[in-house]
Amino acid sequence: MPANKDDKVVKEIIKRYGHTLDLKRSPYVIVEIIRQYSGRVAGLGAADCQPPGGPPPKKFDLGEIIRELNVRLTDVARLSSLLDATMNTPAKRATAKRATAKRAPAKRANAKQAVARKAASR
Amino acid sequence: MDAKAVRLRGTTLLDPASPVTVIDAFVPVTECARILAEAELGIWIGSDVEGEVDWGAGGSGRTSQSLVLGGGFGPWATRWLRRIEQKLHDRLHVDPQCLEPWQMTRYRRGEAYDYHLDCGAWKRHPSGERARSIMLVLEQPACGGATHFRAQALTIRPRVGRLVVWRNLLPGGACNHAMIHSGRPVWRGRKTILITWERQRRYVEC
Repeated sequence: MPANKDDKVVKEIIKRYGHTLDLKRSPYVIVEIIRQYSGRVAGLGAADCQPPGGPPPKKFDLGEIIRELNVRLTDVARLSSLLDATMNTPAKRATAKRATAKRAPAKRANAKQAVARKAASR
Repeated sequence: MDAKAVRLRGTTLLDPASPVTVIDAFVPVTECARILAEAELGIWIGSDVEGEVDWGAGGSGRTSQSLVLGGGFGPWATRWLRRIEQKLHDRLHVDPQCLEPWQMTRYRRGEAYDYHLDCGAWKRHPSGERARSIMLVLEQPACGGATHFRAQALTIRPRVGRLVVWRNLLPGGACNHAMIHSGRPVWRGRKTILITWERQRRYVEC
């Protein structure tokens, strides 16, 4: 809500056109104001969307329920995929363990070589 | 005219001359929680907007959800709503016969209702236009969800138990475009309101 921007515009209009705007006396002043200031005021224009609707239906509409369910199911599926991607699932842990086991002998060999090199250098 | 936005924080503004009236603690917090429980009996569907208006209103711009209760509110809630209507009559001279059925609407994170007027679509309706909007906050979000009257430079934050009533029409009965307002986006938590409108004449369903 750009209150500061509107404040400045309002102050200028009051300064230029007076504290009261009498549209009956000078109806075209408003046109002049719009002409001068429309570019500087954000969100100018008629209401952007329609009024709220009347009371919701009294009976459950099966079609509506199914539509809403489908939307929820899509949301659940999407969230589920996101969770899978981030969570540390048992399947993922097993995969990681296998990868570690494969790397372990190579790691031990490297460590032994490092120790031997150090001993040789003394 | 001071165009600085006035943010009401827990104050009561009751001014018959003002187009917007705010009454805090109109309903106790415990009763708000109890009426909220009515949602357990129904389902939430995307909120509706009315069809044609005189000006070039574009899309719906509404992402809230409204509660559908097959068969209406439960017995306690029905009695409670009648008491609220009586209270509205006593304090604000609202005519219960002119009220539309109450709607429960919720706004979750990111949901909002873009700038709109509450009137303008019921010229040919036997009950006439929506003269006043009556909104009761049942659940307040942690952040966001204010009602912003941009032409009034007025921002009203949702507070549990707060009643907000505003006039939509000019004295002659035409839509007052200065009452354009928006339900600002909810950023954290959820906002749930009860809302109805007082028509110009006795409400009849068509």
